[in-house]
Amino acid sequence: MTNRSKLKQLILDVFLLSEEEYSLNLKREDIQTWDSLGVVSMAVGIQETFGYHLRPEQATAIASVSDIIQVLTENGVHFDV
Amino acid sequence: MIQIKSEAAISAQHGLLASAWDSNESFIFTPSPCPVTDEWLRTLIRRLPSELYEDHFGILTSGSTGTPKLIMGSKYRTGELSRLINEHQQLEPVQNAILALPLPYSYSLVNQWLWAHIHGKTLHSTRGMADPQSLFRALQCHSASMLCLVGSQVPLLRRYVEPGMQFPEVLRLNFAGGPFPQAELSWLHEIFPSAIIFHNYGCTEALPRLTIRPASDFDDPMTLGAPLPGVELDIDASGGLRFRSAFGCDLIADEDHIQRVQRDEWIATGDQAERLESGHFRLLGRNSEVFKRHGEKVSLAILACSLRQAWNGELAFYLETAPDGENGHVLILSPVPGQPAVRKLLLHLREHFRRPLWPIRIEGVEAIPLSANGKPDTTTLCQLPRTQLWKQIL
Repeated sequence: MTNRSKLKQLILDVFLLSEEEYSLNLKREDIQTWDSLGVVSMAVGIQETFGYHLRPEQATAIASVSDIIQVLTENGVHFDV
Repeated sequence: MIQIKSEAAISAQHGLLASAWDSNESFIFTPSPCPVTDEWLRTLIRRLPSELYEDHFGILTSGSTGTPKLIMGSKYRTGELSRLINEHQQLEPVQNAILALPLPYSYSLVNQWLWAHIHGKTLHSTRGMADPQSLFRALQCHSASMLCLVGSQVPLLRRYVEPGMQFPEVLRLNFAGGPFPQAELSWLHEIFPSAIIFHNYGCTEALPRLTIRPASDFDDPMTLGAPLPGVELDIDASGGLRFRSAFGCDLIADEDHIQRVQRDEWIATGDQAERLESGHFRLLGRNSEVFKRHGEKVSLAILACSLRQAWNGELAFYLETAPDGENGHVLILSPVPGQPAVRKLLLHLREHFRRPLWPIRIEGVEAIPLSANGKPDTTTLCQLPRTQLWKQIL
Protein backbone atom coordinates (compact mmCIF):
# COMPACT_ATOMS: atom_id res chain seq x y z
CA MET A 1 0.00 0.00 0.00
CA THR A 2 1.46 3.39 -0.97
CA ASN A 3 1.66 6.26 1.50
CA ARG A 4 -0.91 8.09 -0.62
CA SER A 5 -3.35 5.16 -0.20
CA LYS A 6 -2.60 4.91 3.51
CA LEU A 7 -3.34 8.60 3.97
CA LYS A 8 -6.57 8.31 2.01
CA GLN A 9 -7.75 5.36 4.14
CA LEU A 10 -6.80 7.23 7.31
CA ILE A 11 -8.77 10.33 6.30
CA LEU A 12 -11.79 8.22 5.29
CA ASP A 13 -11.74 6.38 8.63
CA VAL A 14 -11.10 9.39 10.86
CA PHE A 15 -13.68 11.70 9.31
CA LEU A 16 -16.08 9.01 8.02
CA LEU A 17 -15.94 10.14 4.41
CA SER A 18 -17.03 8.31 1.28
CA GLU A 19 -14.45 7.57 -1.43
CA GLU A 20 -16.15 10.14 -3.67
CA GLU A 21 -15.71 12.89 -1.12
CA TYR A 22 -11.97 12.41 -0.81
CA SER A 23 -9.51 14.54 -2.76
CA LEU A 24 -6.17 16.14 -2.15
CA ASN A 25 -7.91 19.50 -2.25
CA LEU A 26 -10.19 18.57 0.64
CA LYS A 27 -10.20 21.35 3.24
CA ARG A 28 -11.03 21.35 6.93
CA GLU A 29 -13.94 23.70 6.37
CA ASP A 30 -15.46 21.18 3.93
CA ILE A 31 -15.70 18.47 6.59
CA GLN A 32 -18.05 18.89 9.54
CA THR A 33 -16.39 15.98 11.37
CA TRP A 34 -12.97 17.71 11.27
CA ASP A 35 -13.70 19.05 14.74
CA SER A 36 -11.47 19.26 17.83
CA LEU A 37 -11.78 15.55 18.59
CA GLY A 38 -11.21 14.91 14.89
CA VAL A 39 -7.93 16.84 15.06
CA VAL A 40 -6.76 14.63 17.93
CA SER A 41 -7.91 11.49 16.14
CA MET A 42 -6.09 12.55 12.97
CA ALA A 43 -2.87 13.26 14.87
CA VAL A 44 -2.99 9.85 16.56
CA GLY A 45 -3.72 8.22 13.20
CA ILE A 46 -0.75 9.95 11.57
CA GLN A 47 1.51 8.73 14.37
CA GLU A 48 0.18 5.15 14.05
CA THR A 49 0.33 5.11 10.24
CA PHE A 50 3.44 7.15 9.42
CA GLY A 51 5.33 7.17 12.71
CA TYR A 52 5.42 10.97 12.82
CA HIS A 53 4.27 12.74 15.96
CA LEU A 54 2.48 15.96 15.10
CA ARG A 55 2.98 18.68 17.68
CA PRO A 56 -0.32 20.13 18.93
CA GLU A 57 0.26 23.44 17.13
CA GLN A 58 1.02 21.57 13.89
CA ALA A 59 -2.11 19.45 14.22
CA THR A 60 -4.37 22.44 14.77
CA ALA A 61 -2.71 24.42 11.94
CA ILE A 62 -3.40 21.75 9.35
CA ALA A 63 -6.26 22.97 7.19
CA SER A 64 -6.31 20.52 4.28
CA VAL A 65 -5.17 17.12 3.07
CA SER A 66 -2.44 18.94 1.10
CA ASP A 67 -1.16 20.42 4.37
CA ILE A 68 -0.84 16.93 5.85
CA ILE A 69 1.18 15.77 2.85
CA GLN A 70 3.40 18.85 3.10
CA VAL A 71 4.09 18.37 6.82
CA LEU A 72 4.82 14.68 6.38
CA THR A 73 7.00 15.24 3.32
CA GLU A 74 9.03 17.85 5.21
CA ASN A 75 9.56 15.23 7.88
CA GLY A 76 10.82 12.44 5.68
CA VAL A 77 7.63 10.67 4.60
CA HIS A 78 7.61 10.25 0.85
CA PHE A 79 4.49 10.49 -1.28
CA ASP A 80 4.47 9.31 -4.89
CA VAL A 81 3.79 12.07 -7.37
CA MET B 1 -48.68 -19.79 49.32
CA ILE B 2 -48.17 -22.22 46.47
CA GLN B 3 -45.50 -22.32 43.81
CA ILE B 4 -46.42 -23.05 40.19
CA LYS B 5 -43.44 -24.04 38.09
CA SER B 6 -43.53 -23.21 34.41
CA GLU B 7 -43.07 -26.32 32.29
CA ALA B 8 -42.49 -26.91 28.61
CA ALA B 9 -46.08 -28.14 28.27
CA ILE B 10 -47.50 -24.72 29.02
CA SER B 11 -51.02 -25.59 27.91
CA ALA B 12 -51.25 -28.12 30.76
CA GLN B 13 -50.76 -25.24 33.17
CA HIS B 14 -53.62 -23.08 32.09
CA GLY B 15 -56.04 -24.92 34.34
CA LEU B 16 -53.61 -24.87 37.24
CA LEU B 17 -53.05 -21.14 36.84
CA ALA B 18 -56.77 -20.50 36.55
CA SER B 19 -57.44 -22.39 39.81
CA ALA B 20 -54.66 -20.54 41.58
CA TRP B 21 -55.82 -17.17 40.27
CA ASP B 22 -59.44 -17.77 41.25
CA SER B 23 -58.67 -18.99 44.78
CA ASN B 24 -57.95 -16.68 47.72
CA GLU B 25 -54.55 -18.23 48.26
CA SER B 26 -51.54 -16.41 46.87
CA PHE B 27 -49.20 -18.15 44.42
CA ILE B 28 -45.80 -17.62 42.86
CA PHE B 29 -45.28 -18.50 39.21
CA THR B 30 -41.65 -19.42 38.49
CA PRO B 31 -39.95 -19.85 35.11
CA SER B 32 -38.15 -22.90 33.83
CA PRO B 33 -35.24 -23.05 34.22
CA CYS B 34 -35.69 -21.16 37.46
CA PRO B 35 -32.93 -18.67 38.37
CA VAL B 36 -33.37 -19.42 42.09
CA THR B 37 -33.55 -22.60 44.12
CA ASP B 38 -36.69 -23.81 45.86
CA GLU B 39 -34.91 -23.19 49.17
CA TRP B 40 -34.16 -19.56 48.16
CA LEU B 41 -37.83 -19.07 47.41
CA ARG B 42 -39.08 -20.84 50.56
CA THR B 43 -36.78 -18.72 52.73
CA LEU B 44 -38.06 -15.57 51.07
CA ILE B 45 -41.71 -16.62 51.37
CA ARG B 46 -41.28 -17.14 55.13
CA ARG B 47 -40.15 -13.51 55.42
CA LEU B 48 -43.10 -12.04 53.48
CA PRO B 49 -45.75 -9.94 55.27
CA SER B 50 -48.68 -12.17 56.19
CA GLU B 51 -51.23 -10.07 54.27
CA LEU B 52 -49.55 -11.13 51.03
CA TYR B 53 -50.42 -14.77 51.68
CA GLU B 54 -53.88 -14.08 50.29
CA ASP B 55 -55.18 -12.55 47.04
CA HIS B 56 -51.73 -11.93 45.59
CA PHE B 57 -49.46 -13.51 43.01
CA GLY B 58 -45.74 -13.35 42.46
CA ILE B 59 -43.34 -13.64 39.56
CA LEU B 60 -39.57 -13.56 39.31
CA THR B 61 -37.58 -11.05 37.34
CA SER B 62 -33.97 -10.04 37.09
CA GLY B 63 -34.77 -6.61 35.62
CA SER B 64 -31.80 -4.46 34.73
CA THR B 65 -29.66 -5.60 37.66
CA GLY B 66 -29.27 -9.31 36.88
CA THR B 67 -30.20 -10.12 40.51
CA PRO B 68 -33.30 -12.31 40.87
CA LYS B 69 -36.20 -10.43 42.43
CA LEU B 70 -39.64 -11.52 43.49
CA ILE B 71 -42.39 -9.13 42.45
CA MET B 72 -45.79 -9.54 44.11
CA GLY B 73 -49.01 -7.83 43.15
CA SER B 74 -52.70 -7.90 43.90
CA LYS B 75 -54.77 -10.27 41.75
CA TYR B 76 -57.68 -7.83 41.91
CA ARG B 77 -55.75 -4.76 40.78
CA THR B 78 -53.89 -6.65 38.05
CA GLY B 79 -57.26 -7.87 36.85
CA GLU B 80 -58.40 -4.24 36.70
CA LEU B 81 -55.34 -3.42 34.61
CA SER B 82 -56.22 -6.25 32.24
CA ARG B 83 -59.70 -4.72 31.82
CA LEU B 84 -58.10 -1.33 31.15
CA ILE B 85 -55.84 -2.86 28.50
CA ASN B 86 -58.90 -4.53 26.96
CA GLU B 87 -60.61 -1.15 26.76
CA HIS B 88 -57.60 0.80 25.44
CA GLN B 89 -56.81 -1.73 22.75
CA GLN B 90 -60.47 -2.35 21.88
CA LEU B 91 -59.95 -6.08 22.26
CA GLU B 92 -63.61 -7.14 22.17
CA PRO B 93 -63.41 -8.57 18.61
CA VAL B 94 -60.32 -10.62 19.52
CA GLN B 95 -61.18 -14.22 20.40
CA ASN B 96 -57.78 -15.91 20.62
CA ALA B 97 -54.45 -15.04 22.18
CA ILE B 98 -51.45 -16.70 20.55
CA LEU B 99 -48.62 -17.14 23.04
CA ALA B 100 -45.14 -16.73 21.54
CA LEU B 101 -43.24 -15.70 24.68
CA PRO B 102 -42.59 -17.56 27.96
CA LEU B 103 -45.71 -17.47 30.11
CA PRO B 104 -43.89 -16.43 33.33
CA TYR B 105 -43.07 -13.05 31.72
CA SER B 106 -45.40 -10.44 33.24
CA TYR B 107 -46.12 -9.25 29.67
CA SER B 108 -47.41 -12.68 28.57
CA LEU B 109 -49.07 -13.45 31.86
CA VAL B 110 -51.11 -10.24 32.08
CA ASN B 111 -51.56 -9.18 28.43
CA GLN B 112 -52.41 -12.67 27.25
CA TRP B 113 -53.13 -15.37 29.87
CA LEU B 114 -54.97 -13.15 32.35
CA TRP B 115 -56.75 -11.24 29.61
CA ALA B 116 -57.98 -14.53 28.12
CA HIS B 117 -58.95 -15.84 31.55
CA ILE B 118 -60.92 -12.76 32.58
CA HIS B 119 -62.62 -12.14 29.27
CA GLY B 120 -63.45 -15.74 28.42
CA LYS B 121 -61.11 -15.92 25.43
CA THR B 122 -58.84 -18.79 24.40
CA LEU B 123 -55.09 -18.90 24.85
CA HIS B 124 -53.05 -21.02 22.44
CA SER B 125 -49.52 -21.90 23.45
CA THR B 126 -46.70 -22.13 20.93
CA ARG B 127 -42.95 -22.37 21.31
CA GLY B 128 -42.60 -18.98 19.66
CA MET B 129 -39.56 -18.48 17.49
CA ALA B 130 -38.07 -21.74 18.83
CA ASP B 131 -40.52 -23.46 16.46
CA PRO B 132 -41.63 -20.82 13.96
CA GLN B 133 -43.64 -23.23 11.81
CA SER B 134 -45.93 -24.15 14.71
CA LEU B 135 -46.31 -20.46 15.52
CA PHE B 136 -47.23 -19.70 11.92
CA ARG B 137 -49.77 -22.55 11.89
CA ALA B 138 -51.37 -21.17 15.07
CA LEU B 139 -51.51 -17.69 13.53
CA GLN B 140 -53.21 -19.09 10.44
CA CYS B 141 -55.60 -21.50 12.19
CA HIS B 142 -57.06 -19.32 14.91
CA SER B 143 -59.32 -16.53 13.80
CA ALA B 144 -59.48 -13.04 15.29
CA SER B 145 -56.28 -13.33 17.28
CA MET B 146 -53.87 -11.24 19.32
CA LEU B 147 -50.11 -11.75 19.38
CA CYS B 148 -47.56 -10.33 21.81
CA LEU B 149 -43.93 -10.09 20.71
CA VAL B 150 -40.72 -8.37 21.72
CA GLY B 151 -38.78 -6.37 19.14
CA SER B 152 -35.81 -8.74 19.19
CA GLN B 153 -38.03 -11.49 17.73
CA VAL B 154 -38.61 -9.53 14.52
CA PRO B 155 -35.27 -10.43 12.85
CA LEU B 156 -36.12 -14.09 13.48
CA LEU B 157 -39.61 -13.55 12.10
CA ARG B 158 -38.06 -12.02 9.00
CA ARG B 159 -35.77 -15.00 8.64
CA TYR B 160 -38.58 -17.56 8.74
CA VAL B 161 -41.53 -15.83 7.09
CA GLU B 162 -41.53 -16.84 3.43
CA PRO B 163 -42.22 -14.31 0.68
CA GLY B 164 -45.94 -13.73 0.28
CA MET B 165 -46.83 -15.23 3.67
CA GLN B 166 -49.44 -13.23 5.58
CA PHE B 167 -51.39 -13.60 8.83
CA PRO B 168 -54.64 -11.73 8.25
CA GLU B 169 -56.32 -13.34 11.27
CA VAL B 170 -54.14 -11.35 13.67
CA LEU B 171 -56.16 -8.29 14.71
CA ARG B 172 -53.85 -6.92 17.41
CA LEU B 173 -50.06 -7.11 17.45
CA ASN B 174 -48.33 -5.93 20.63
CA PHE B 175 -44.71 -5.04 21.19
CA ALA B 176 -43.14 -4.45 24.59
CA GLY B 177 -40.11 -5.50 26.58
CA GLY B 178 -37.45 -3.74 24.51
CA PRO B 179 -36.95 -1.32 21.64
CA PHE B 180 -39.91 -1.06 19.27
CA PRO B 181 -38.97 -2.33 15.77
CA GLN B 182 -39.86 0.90 13.97
CA ALA B 183 -37.64 0.13 10.95
CA GLU B 184 -39.72 -3.01 10.31
CA LEU B 185 -43.12 -1.39 10.74
CA SER B 186 -44.00 -1.37 7.02
CA TRP B 187 -43.04 -5.01 6.68
CA LEU B 188 -45.03 -5.93 9.80
CA HIS B 189 -48.10 -4.25 8.29
CA GLU B 190 -47.56 -6.35 5.14
CA ILE B 191 -47.50 -9.68 6.94
CA PHE B 192 -50.15 -8.71 9.51
CA PRO B 193 -52.47 -6.77 7.18
CA SER B 194 -55.46 -6.70 9.57
CA ALA B 195 -53.56 -5.91 12.76
CA ILE B 196 -53.46 -2.72 14.73
CA ILE B 197 -49.88 -2.62 15.97
CA PHE B 198 -49.28 -1.34 19.49
CA HIS B 199 -46.18 0.11 21.08
CA ASN B 200 -46.46 -0.72 24.80
CA TYR B 201 -44.22 0.30 27.63
CA GLY B 202 -43.95 -1.04 31.14
CA CYS B 203 -41.86 -3.17 33.46
CA THR B 204 -42.36 -6.14 35.74
CA GLU B 205 -42.70 -3.89 38.81
CA ALA B 206 -45.65 -2.18 37.07
CA LEU B 207 -47.22 -5.64 36.38
CA PRO B 208 -46.52 -4.63 33.67
CA ARG B 209 -48.22 -1.93 31.64
CA LEU B 210 -47.63 1.81 31.98
CA THR B 211 -48.37 3.14 28.49
CA ILE B 212 -50.08 1.89 25.34
CA ARG B 213 -50.13 3.65 22.01
CA PRO B 214 -50.79 2.65 18.42
CA ALA B 215 -47.43 2.43 16.64
CA SER B 216 -48.73 4.89 14.06
CA ASP B 217 -48.98 7.72 16.63
CA PHE B 218 -45.29 8.67 16.41
CA ASP B 219 -42.47 7.99 13.96
CA ASP B 220 -39.98 8.00 16.82
CA PRO B 221 -39.98 4.53 18.42
CA MET B 222 -38.49 5.88 21.64
CA THR B 223 -41.44 8.20 22.34
CA LEU B 224 -43.90 6.68 24.77
CA GLY B 225 -47.66 7.06 24.73
CA ALA B 226 -49.54 8.87 27.46
CA PRO B 227 -49.63 7.02 30.80
CA LEU B 228 -52.72 4.86 31.32
CA PRO B 229 -55.37 6.23 33.70
CA GLY B 230 -54.09 5.59 37.23
CA VAL B 231 -50.46 5.72 36.12
CA GLU B 232 -48.00 8.61 36.52
CA LEU B 233 -44.54 8.90 34.98
CA ASP B 234 -41.71 11.16 36.11
CA ILE B 235 -37.96 11.54 35.77
CA ASP B 236 -35.73 11.44 38.84
CA ALA B 237 -32.64 13.56 39.48
CA SER B 238 -30.34 11.10 37.70
CA GLY B 239 -32.49 10.95 34.55
CA GLY B 240 -34.14 7.64 35.49
CA LEU B 241 -37.76 7.12 34.46
CA ARG B 242 -39.99 6.25 37.42
CA PHE B 243 -43.68 5.51 37.87
CA ARG B 244 -46.55 5.42 40.33
CA SER B 245 -49.35 3.10 39.38
CA ALA B 246 -52.66 2.08 40.86
CA PHE B 247 -51.96 -1.33 39.31
CA GLY B 248 -48.28 -1.72 40.23
CA CYS B 249 -46.69 -4.27 42.53
CA ASP B 250 -47.10 -4.41 46.32
CA LEU B 251 -43.71 -5.87 47.05
CA ILE B 252 -40.22 -6.13 45.59
CA ALA B 253 -37.98 -8.64 47.33
CA ASP B 254 -34.57 -10.14 46.81
CA GLU B 255 -32.26 -12.17 48.99
CA ASP B 256 -31.32 -9.16 51.11
CA HIS B 257 -34.24 -6.75 51.04
CA ILE B 258 -37.99 -6.77 51.16
CA GLN B 259 -39.55 -3.54 49.97
CA ARG B 260 -43.24 -3.06 50.65
CA VAL B 261 -44.48 -0.68 47.96
CA GLN B 262 -47.00 1.98 48.92
CA ARG B 263 -49.48 3.26 46.32
CA ASP B 264 -47.98 6.78 46.36
CA GLU B 265 -44.42 5.53 46.07
CA TRP B 266 -42.28 6.20 43.00
CA ILE B 267 -40.69 3.07 41.54
CA ALA B 268 -37.73 3.09 39.14
CA THR B 269 -38.36 1.49 35.76
CA GLY B 270 -34.66 0.83 35.16
CA ASP B 271 -34.72 3.06 32.06
CA GLN B 272 -33.35 6.51 31.37
CA ALA B 273 -35.63 9.01 29.66
CA GLU B 274 -36.17 12.66 28.85
CA ARG B 275 -39.37 14.70 28.89
CA LEU B 276 -40.26 16.26 25.56
CA GLU B 277 -41.83 19.69 25.15
CA SER B 278 -45.05 17.92 24.14
CA GLY B 279 -45.16 16.38 27.63
CA HIS B 280 -44.44 12.89 26.32
CA PHE B 281 -41.51 10.89 27.61
CA ARG B 282 -38.74 9.71 25.33
CA LEU B 283 -36.73 6.66 26.31
CA LEU B 284 -32.94 6.81 26.16
CA GLY B 285 -32.40 3.15 27.04
CA ARG B 286 -31.77 0.88 30.00
CA ASN B 287 -29.68 2.38 32.80
CA SER B 288 -26.87 0.07 31.72
CA GLU B 289 -27.21 1.21 28.09
CA VAL B 290 -26.92 4.94 28.70
CA PHE B 291 -23.58 6.42 29.62
CA LYS B 292 -21.48 9.52 29.09
CA ARG B 293 -18.56 9.72 26.71
CA HIS B 294 -16.57 12.96 26.44
CA GLY B 295 -19.41 14.59 28.39
CA GLU B 296 -22.12 13.56 25.91
CA LYS B 297 -24.91 11.16 26.78
CA VAL B 298 -24.79 8.03 24.66
CA SER B 299 -27.97 5.96 24.37
CA LEU B 300 -27.36 2.59 22.75
CA ALA B 301 -31.08 2.12 22.18
CA ILE B 302 -31.33 5.34 20.16
CA LEU B 303 -28.17 4.47 18.24
CA ALA B 304 -29.54 1.02 17.42
CA CYS B 305 -32.85 2.46 16.18
CA SER B 306 -31.08 4.88 13.91
CA LEU B 307 -28.48 2.43 12.59
CA ARG B 308 -31.22 0.04 11.52
CA GLN B 309 -32.07 2.58 8.82
CA ALA B 310 -28.68 1.89 7.26
CA TRP B 311 -28.22 -1.80 8.09
CA ASN B 312 -30.66 -4.61 7.32
CA GLY B 313 -28.87 -7.31 9.30
CA GLU B 314 -28.76 -7.82 13.04
CA LEU B 315 -26.81 -5.59 15.38
CA ALA B 316 -25.82 -5.44 19.02
CA PHE B 317 -23.43 -3.53 21.27
CA TYR B 318 -21.09 -4.33 24.07
CA LEU B 319 -19.38 -1.89 26.37
CA GLU B 320 -15.66 -1.45 26.83
CA THR B 321 -13.28 1.14 28.23
CA ALA B 322 -11.85 2.97 25.20
CA PRO B 323 -8.11 3.56 24.71
CA ASP B 324 -8.72 7.22 25.70
CA GLY B 325 -9.94 6.02 29.12
CA GLU B 326 -13.56 6.97 28.47
CA ASN B 327 -16.55 4.61 28.40
CA GLY B 328 -17.12 3.28 24.91
CA HIS B 329 -19.27 0.92 22.90
CA VAL B 330 -18.45 -1.63 20.21
CA LEU B 331 -20.97 -2.18 17.42
CA ILE B 332 -21.44 -5.80 16.34
CA LEU B 333 -22.97 -6.63 12.95
CA SER B 334 -24.28 -9.93 11.70
CA PRO B 335 -23.82 -11.38 9.15
CA VAL B 336 -20.32 -9.99 8.53
CA PRO B 337 -20.81 -7.16 6.00
CA GLY B 338 -18.57 -6.10 3.13
CA GLN B 339 -16.79 -2.75 3.10
CA PRO B 340 -19.53 -0.92 1.12
CA ALA B 341 -22.09 -1.74 3.85
CA VAL B 342 -19.65 -0.68 6.57
CA ARG B 343 -18.98 2.58 4.73
CA LYS B 344 -22.74 3.18 4.43
CA LEU B 345 -23.07 2.79 8.21
CA LEU B 346 -20.13 5.11 8.84
CA LEU B 347 -21.70 7.77 6.63
CA HIS B 348 -24.95 7.34 8.54
CA LEU B 349 -23.08 7.81 11.83
CA ARG B 350 -21.41 10.94 10.52
CA GLU B 351 -24.69 12.37 9.31
CA HIS B 352 -26.71 11.70 12.46
CA PHE B 353 -24.35 11.57 15.46
CA ARG B 354 -21.46 13.54 16.87
CA ARG B 355 -18.10 11.81 17.27
CA PRO B 356 -18.49 10.84 20.97
CA LEU B 357 -21.51 8.77 19.96
CA TRP B 358 -19.63 6.81 17.31
CA PRO B 359 -18.63 3.27 18.34
CA ILE B 360 -14.99 2.74 19.18
CA ARG B 361 -14.98 -0.26 16.83
CA ILE B 362 -17.28 -2.04 14.41
CA GLU B 363 -16.96 -5.82 14.40
CA GLY B 364 -18.71 -8.59 12.50
CA VAL B 365 -19.85 -12.05 13.63
CA GLU B 366 -21.58 -14.85 11.75
CA ALA B 367 -24.54 -14.82 14.14
CA ILE B 368 -25.36 -12.82 17.26
CA PRO B 369 -26.06 -15.24 20.13
CA LEU B 370 -29.36 -14.63 21.88
CA SER B 371 -30.36 -15.26 25.48
CA ALA B 372 -33.56 -17.10 26.41
CA ASN B 373 -35.62 -13.90 26.22
CA GLY B 374 -34.43 -13.18 22.67
CA LYS B 375 -32.04 -10.35 23.57
CA PRO B 376 -28.36 -10.36 22.49
CA ASP B 377 -26.22 -12.43 24.84
CA THR B 378 -23.24 -10.09 25.14
CA THR B 379 -21.29 -12.39 27.47
CA THR B 380 -21.25 -15.19 24.88
CA LEU B 381 -20.81 -12.64 22.10
CA CYS B 382 -17.53 -11.38 23.55
CA GLN B 383 -16.14 -14.94 23.53
CA LEU B 384 -16.83 -15.48 19.80
CA PRO B 385 -14.27 -14.86 17.05
CA ARG B 386 -15.05 -11.44 15.59
CA THR B 387 -13.85 -9.64 12.46
CA GLN B 388 -12.77 -6.04 12.99
CA LEU B 389 -14.35 -3.91 10.26
CA TRP B 390 -13.44 -0.41 11.43
CA LYS B 391 -12.00 1.27 14.46
CA GLN B 392 -12.07 4.81 15.70
CA ILE B 393 -8.56 6.19 16.10
CA LEU B 394 -8.35 7.46 19.66
